[in-house]
Amino acid sequence: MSVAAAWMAQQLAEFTSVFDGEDDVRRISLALDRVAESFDAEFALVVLDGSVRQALGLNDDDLRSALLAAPPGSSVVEEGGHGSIHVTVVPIPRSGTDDRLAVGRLSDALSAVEVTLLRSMARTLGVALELHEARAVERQLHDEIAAQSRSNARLVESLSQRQRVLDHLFRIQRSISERAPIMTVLDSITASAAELLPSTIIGLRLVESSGDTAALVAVVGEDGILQRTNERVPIGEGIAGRSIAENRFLVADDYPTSPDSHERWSALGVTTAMATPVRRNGVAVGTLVAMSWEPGRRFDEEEQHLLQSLAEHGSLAFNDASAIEVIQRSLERAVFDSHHDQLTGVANRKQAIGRLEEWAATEAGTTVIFVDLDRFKSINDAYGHTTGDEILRLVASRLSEVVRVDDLVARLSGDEFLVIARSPDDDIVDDLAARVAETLSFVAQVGFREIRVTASVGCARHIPGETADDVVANADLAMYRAKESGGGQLVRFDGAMRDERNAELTLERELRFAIEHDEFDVFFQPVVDLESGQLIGAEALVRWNHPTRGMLAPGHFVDAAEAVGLIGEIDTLAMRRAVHHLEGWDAAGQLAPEFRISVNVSARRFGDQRLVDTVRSELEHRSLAPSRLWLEITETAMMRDVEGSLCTMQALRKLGVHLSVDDFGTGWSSLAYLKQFPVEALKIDQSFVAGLCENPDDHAIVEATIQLAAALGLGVIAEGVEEQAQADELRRLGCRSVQGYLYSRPLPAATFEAQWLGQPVSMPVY
Amino acid sequence: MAMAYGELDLPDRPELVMMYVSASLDPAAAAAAIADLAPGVSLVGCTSRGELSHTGPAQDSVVLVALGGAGVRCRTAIAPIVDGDARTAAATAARCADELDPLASTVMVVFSDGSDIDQDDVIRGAYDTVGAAIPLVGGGACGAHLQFDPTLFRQDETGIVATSGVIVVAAITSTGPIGIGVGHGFDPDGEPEVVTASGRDVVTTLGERPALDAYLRHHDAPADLFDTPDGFADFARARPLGVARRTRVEPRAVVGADQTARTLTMGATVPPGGLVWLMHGDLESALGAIDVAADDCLDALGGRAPLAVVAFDCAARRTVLGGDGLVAEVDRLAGRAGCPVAGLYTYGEIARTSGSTGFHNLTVVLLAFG
Repeated sequence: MSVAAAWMAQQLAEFTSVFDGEDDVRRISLALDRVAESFDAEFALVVLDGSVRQALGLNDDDLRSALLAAPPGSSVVEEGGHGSIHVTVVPIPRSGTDDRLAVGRLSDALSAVEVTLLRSMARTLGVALELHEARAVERQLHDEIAAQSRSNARLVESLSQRQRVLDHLFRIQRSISERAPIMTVLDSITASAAELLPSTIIGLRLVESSGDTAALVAVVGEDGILQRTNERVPIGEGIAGRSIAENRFLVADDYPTSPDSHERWSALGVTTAMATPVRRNGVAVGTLVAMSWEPGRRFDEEEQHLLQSLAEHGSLAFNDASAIEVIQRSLERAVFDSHHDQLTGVANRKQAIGRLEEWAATEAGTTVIFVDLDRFKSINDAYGHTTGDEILRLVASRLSEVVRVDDLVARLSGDEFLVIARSPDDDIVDDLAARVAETLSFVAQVGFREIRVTASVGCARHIPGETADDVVANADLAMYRAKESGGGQLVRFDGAMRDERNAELTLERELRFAIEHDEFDVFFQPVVDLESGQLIGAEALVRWNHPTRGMLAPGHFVDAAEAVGLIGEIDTLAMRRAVHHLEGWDAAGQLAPEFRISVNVSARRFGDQRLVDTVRSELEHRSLAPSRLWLEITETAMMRDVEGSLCTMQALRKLGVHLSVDDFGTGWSSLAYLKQFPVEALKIDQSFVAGLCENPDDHAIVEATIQLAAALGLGVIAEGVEEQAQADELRRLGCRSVQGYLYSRPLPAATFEAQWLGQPVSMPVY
Repeated sequence: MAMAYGELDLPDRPELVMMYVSASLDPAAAAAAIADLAPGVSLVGCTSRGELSHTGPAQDSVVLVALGGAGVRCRTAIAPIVDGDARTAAATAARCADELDPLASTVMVVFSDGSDIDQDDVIRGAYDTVGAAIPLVGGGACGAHLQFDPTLFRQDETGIVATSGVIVVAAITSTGPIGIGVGHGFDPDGEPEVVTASGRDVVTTLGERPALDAYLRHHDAPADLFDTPDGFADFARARPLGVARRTRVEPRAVVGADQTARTLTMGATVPPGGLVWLMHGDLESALGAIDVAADDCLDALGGRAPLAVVAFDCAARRTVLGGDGLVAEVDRLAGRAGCPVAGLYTYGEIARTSGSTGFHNLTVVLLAFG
């Protein structure tokens, strides 16, 4: 092979090798070197995208311009400094470009073979450039994908890290919500910090009770094991102490040179540290500290936030514990309040009954001392409730001082107290009761006043079979006896009272049975016109058809019924029965339109709001004119609660019923109130009628009552007329309506109907 | 040094001194000595594998070439090779030519630290700056261990620098003609081989065959050379590989072989993918190179008698020429030049007279001033 042929074959091979692994700029430079060397050319240039990308030997601007301007193919450029330059320009085939390769040689022009080689080189260059561009795009895409992958990997790592953090925080929050012990929560926080902050030691310090130092209560090193220590630092010193004192986050990037560094930790090689307070209700009670021994380590912003977040969870646990304490105290207070009297601080009824039930069920010798202050209502009325409350507190205090440790002092209500004692020795209990009675006879100094205080005291011993309520009722009965005897004394519940009590209990049971079994009935006592003697109405009187004792008048059971709260039901039964008969007689045409029935309303029933509803209900269910119904209310009942009475009476009057004052003259009524009450008649009590003809006082009362009623435009009815003389005197005084044994005793409905309703009924005259 | 400088018999302060110091001498001492003898005089030079002058070849010597007179101007420069970037260093140093107002002829003498660089880059770099207008001559400096640890010298009015890892240039412009000639004395032998694999200063395979084996077989080498390194250096001394250029084949010295890897160690890089000739030469052909080079450089003077001839001779030729051959070479050179001659034995030679490249190996380059 000739040298020339070998040279040709070699050049393209060497030229091609230029494009192995070189970047764009360098490959074009090497390619141009190769081109020039291949052709022994002094000058060469590459034009890409219309501009000279690389030039060789063309430092002279004129020479460069001359070569640049050379036309495609072979030509000669005359250049002063070099003479004739043989130039060959070939295109660089590249899609959509006007790229070219130019070679200039001083010696001679390129031969045809050389031109062919040059074209091959140019083609190779074009392919290489296009391939490079494609590879550049691919590389860019690959780089973008790799960058995205790295970004994704970082994102995944970041998310994983965040998930780890969230997992730790979730566990901590759950332990807080599950009310784990506070140290368990703090230990969890310390351990989590150690796990989430690599290459660190985490310590938790809590302020000690002295308030001067903070103890390292928990520390976790790189081994991950939580340990307890007693090492302490003064508040305000070092990064830990200062974070507590200043109640803020601190970081010492370069710990050894930091003013917060401590010799001990510096000597151990701590390079960086941070501390953040743990708070309770905003006050720093400790600090969470992170330290690292890694050279060059710095806690970045995310790590600082993490430590602060963990410490805040510690604060949350402390605040929650505080809240729990508050709640617990509140609960305890509420429990306390629910068992104690607010005013005096002694036990309340609930606790007293509970204690009594407990002791009564398990112990012998339980005694109840029932205390009721004498004339307390008067004291309250005279001196005000503030003074009354102070007296109650003094009473409770005195009782608390005389009782023994195990005895219970309780305030039932108002001015009633209980002392519950337990002893098998009657003497001890008696002595206690005596001391109670004695201590409650004193002069209370309230402000500038001296007020005499006494109490009625009843004492009852529990006997097997009795309930707590029984014992209290017994003591109450004994107290009542003491009250009835003038007060300021002690009465012991005895056998007679027990019998009385038992009788009351029996009566109560019988009353309940009677109500359930319809043993109550009403008798009717006619009310007649004094002049004509004609029937103008009737008073319905309740009777108890006792199965063994026969028909009982109200005097035998009303007090007991009122005491046990059954009077209202009895009154209602009586009213219904009376109204029932009235309706029936009226429907049978046996009554004049003006005939009325009067029904007694007991004092206790009068104070019950349900009275109005009961009357309304009765009237609605019956075809009865409300005007036929009169309700008799005692004077005493009216005056108990004047305002309430007025409301009730007005409500009853709205229903259309009539009202009369029963037993007028026996109570303490104010004429001013009497004027306001919507009553229409007064009933003179039978006690006054009984002495009408013999007792001047009674006569005066009767006369005054009749005149008063006339003056007020009220009707008047005299009860208990038993003698003609009485009737005559009443007539003379101007009374027109009467009732009493002179005319008829109370009769059963059938008898009343038979004896009186067959008669014509005259107009009522008052 | 003083003796050599004294022999220059300079009528005036020289414009340029070129100094070639044997690598066996203390370069620092040499630098100090010349600085003392010719303070502030422009100077370039380097250590060499051997020196030559009209008195003959020499070792352990110093050869000085002084240029002066009204018809000569020069500028020198030195540039460090940073991160192996010889091209940039050469381009930087070559800028000293911009400071010269060119006279009738200009040449740039380039010396480089040849260790661990591509010598072609030195030429490319200088050419990047000076272009086709200024030919380049020169060579790679030699240290005590061939191309390693050479010292290059450069002096200006501020003082002298003696260091390595640099490129030193001297741009010389003269009112007289300047001629450059190149010769090597090796001929291709048989058909070329394809360099199927090669690296820096290593040929791995020739025609897909282990390069060492292909080389030895081509040259009908004795059988023992296939198995032992003993004798290979002598065998390969006059049997270089030849790389093809457009109109010539340039030798590249085979300086050794790796018996294990079966590769050839080269004095210069042989690029892969191309063809190489397995060349041969001998004493006579090596001496003949002087004639070839002398013809070219003296012809370029346009008939004017040379005033001085500077030789840049490949150190590897010393092994081809041998002791007597070196004497004969200097005699022939002196005889052809008819004027003072001086030179040095370099590690690679630079001669760019056409094209953009001009690195040579196993070659003698002559620079004649007319």
